[in-house]
Amino acid sequence: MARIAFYLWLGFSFTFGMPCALAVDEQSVLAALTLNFARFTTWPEASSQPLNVCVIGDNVVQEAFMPLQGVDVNGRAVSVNNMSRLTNLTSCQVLFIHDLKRNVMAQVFQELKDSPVLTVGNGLDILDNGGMIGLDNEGGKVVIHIDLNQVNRSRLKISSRLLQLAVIRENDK
Amino acid sequence: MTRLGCWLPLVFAVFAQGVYADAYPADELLDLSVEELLNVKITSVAKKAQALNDAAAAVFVITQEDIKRSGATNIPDALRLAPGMDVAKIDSSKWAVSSRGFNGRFANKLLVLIDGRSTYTRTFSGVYWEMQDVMLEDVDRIEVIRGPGGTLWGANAVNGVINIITKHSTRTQGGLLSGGIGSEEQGFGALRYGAKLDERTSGRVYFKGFKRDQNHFANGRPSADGWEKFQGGFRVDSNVSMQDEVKLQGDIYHTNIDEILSTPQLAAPYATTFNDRAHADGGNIVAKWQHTLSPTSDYSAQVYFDTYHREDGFLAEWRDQLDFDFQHRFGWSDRHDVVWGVGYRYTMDDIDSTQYFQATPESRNDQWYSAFLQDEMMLVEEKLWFTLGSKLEHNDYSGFEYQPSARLLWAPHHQHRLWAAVSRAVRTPSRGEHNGKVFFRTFPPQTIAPGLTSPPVALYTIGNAEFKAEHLLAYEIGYRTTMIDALSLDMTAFYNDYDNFRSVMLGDLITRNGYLEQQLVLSNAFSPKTYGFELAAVWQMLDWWRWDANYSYLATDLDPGSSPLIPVSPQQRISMRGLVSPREDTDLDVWLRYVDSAMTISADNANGERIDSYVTLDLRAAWRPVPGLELSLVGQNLISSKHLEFVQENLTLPTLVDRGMYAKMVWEF
Repeated sequence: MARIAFYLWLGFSFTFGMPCALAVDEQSVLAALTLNFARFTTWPEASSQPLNVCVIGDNVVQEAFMPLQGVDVNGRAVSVNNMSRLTNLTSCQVLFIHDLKRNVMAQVFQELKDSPVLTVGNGLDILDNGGMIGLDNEGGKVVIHIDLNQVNRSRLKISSRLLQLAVIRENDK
Repeated sequence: MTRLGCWLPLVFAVFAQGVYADAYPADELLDLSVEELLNVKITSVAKKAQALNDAAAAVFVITQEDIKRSGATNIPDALRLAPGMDVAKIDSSKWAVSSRGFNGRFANKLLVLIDGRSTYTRTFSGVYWEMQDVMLEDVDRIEVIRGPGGTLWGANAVNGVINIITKHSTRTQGGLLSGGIGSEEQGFGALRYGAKLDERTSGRVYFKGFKRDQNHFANGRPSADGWEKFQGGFRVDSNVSMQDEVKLQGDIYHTNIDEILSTPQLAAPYATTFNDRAHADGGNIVAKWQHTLSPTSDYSAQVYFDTYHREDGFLAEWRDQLDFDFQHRFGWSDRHDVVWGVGYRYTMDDIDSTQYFQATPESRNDQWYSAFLQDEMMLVEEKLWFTLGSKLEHNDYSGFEYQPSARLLWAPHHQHRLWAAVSRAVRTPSRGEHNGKVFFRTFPPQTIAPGLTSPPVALYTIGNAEFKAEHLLAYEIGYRTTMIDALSLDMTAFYNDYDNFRSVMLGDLITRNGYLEQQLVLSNAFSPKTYGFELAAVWQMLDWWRWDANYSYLATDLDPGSSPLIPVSPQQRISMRGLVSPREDTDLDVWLRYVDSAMTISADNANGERIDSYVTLDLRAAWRPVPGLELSLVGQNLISSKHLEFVQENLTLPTLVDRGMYAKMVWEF
């Protein structure tokens, strides 16, 4: 259903050759992308425990992640956790950060050090402060930026299929 | 309408979903591949209608977008966007701004901060609004907190706290030039330039100026209240290390204010008006250092110096203020978020007396010490929070004051927030209330019998060193929900119980040379109560059409006999805004406001001045022909050619606010 609507809508956009203002809520797209990233990521230790997807953000961000609850990711069920307190961050497998102050963000990554936690956030600030995947809004569409150094240090493996779709950062800092 | 092309393919999707919403619900997005997701056009347009504030207080956030689309050209006018705010224009340069009652030019229960710097003046324990300005394009947001904020912010945050927060300088890179002309806004311009100074440091400088036209009196005569102002400033932010950030910012301004002063006289005709030109200059510099220890712990130290010199026909004053503030926040045991801090403020003033106002002593230096502690406890994981705290401070006017508060926030579901609070707040005495003497009225001689005439009686309000702080005990409850798609509702109810509220008692009657001086001494005899509720709604009707509406109700319950001495704010206020963007490059904004009748206190009228209710309308149209350029046309107060919003407590004549139009251009480069 969604797919049919999506292609129809895409087709119309091209047909009419004009920017369509009707669009999808940004947070929901970021949540759906984050779920896909988890599918393309291999953690160093195999586990059948729930996959903890932790969210730092307001109720809008939290709500966008709700549909992920219980979804299967390579044999693990997603458990969505809201992290209003910024504690026990190493219990997460995936950490999504929305609009955190720069200095606090830097400390979050300091705390995670090289733990195998896939860190995703909106915008590119997250990469400058030690995060792995930044989702930038460029002209109304999402562009994925990945800092491979951060990924490798945490012993996570991201599938090349995903890397092909992303802008890769490999500068040594 | 280009939009229609977008709608057609969605018709059946909408039928399938049964509601208008985004193209598809979030859980169906999960079926799309990464490639497909990267092709989706995203929007965060509905965010305002979905976001819930997590504060256990009546908070309303005015965003940069809101300010721009309101057409407001100054801070007080922008504050009209918030529910429960009582903003009234007195004349071209003067405002009365309050929240939850007791409004006036010299209103004294609202604390206003600009980037952490208090705009409070001890002179009358309030804000000179004509001296507060920022580059509006650089404002990130204005947080309007109705209700007491004394626990964190200290004395004088009785009926509310306003935090004006400008953007970090990394977000104001490049140039911005704005300017315009109009009938009331005769000419205005602003230039800002921001740049990176090095790898870790960014900064900006700005300069702005404006000239405003005079208004009119009810009889149609011009009110000679034109106003001009120039202001410049800078801000530098630097990440000196991974853990440390420093900020340095400052402003400097000069303003000329025309006004007609209405003053009492000791000789016939016992009252007079004259054209006056007031001047004010001032500046400030703020330095802040923040050190982040961990995600849950940081401390910051801030110091600022603020100075102003203001001179008009009523008084001339110089005031310097030095403020130091330290705060430390830390989390412990996963359940507690503790913040504590200490503060020190030194203020020195010099007041030149006139025949209308005398201060004894003419110069005074005061100190103010404070400490606070607050703990936010998570009682139930991500569901229930309890916050307990208190401020303790000492000031040279009323000694020790304490301001505890207890707040509870319950989030039963991510679409609902319920909160309740009980707090005590204190409004400390002003310099005028302790040391001032105001000559405000003369009763002309009365013929008692043929050949026998009483002398004129001059009325003076006399400050009183025994005048104590006013106290408030406030009870508040609130509920916020985004239960209905694309609609957010915020409801607050409050009951305010004041004590030691300012009153006057009859003082000495002194025989002077040719007249009698009747003194009225300030005292703390009143205990008014106010109660009411505020509703705010944001409805994202379509993704290009939003409605913002708010309604506030305020009942003022005064002691018998106190009504002419205490102003009564409008009981009902309605604000309705429509924000329409029919095309990507076009905005149409409409803003309709209704304000109920009000009573103000008046030196010339012992019964107070009644302000009639009014309805007013603002319209704005904006067009962005190329990226970075915006042209807009704004009409303000369009319904009537002029209307009365307020009458100042003394010194000015009732001035009506004129209808106005202006055209504006903003160019970002």
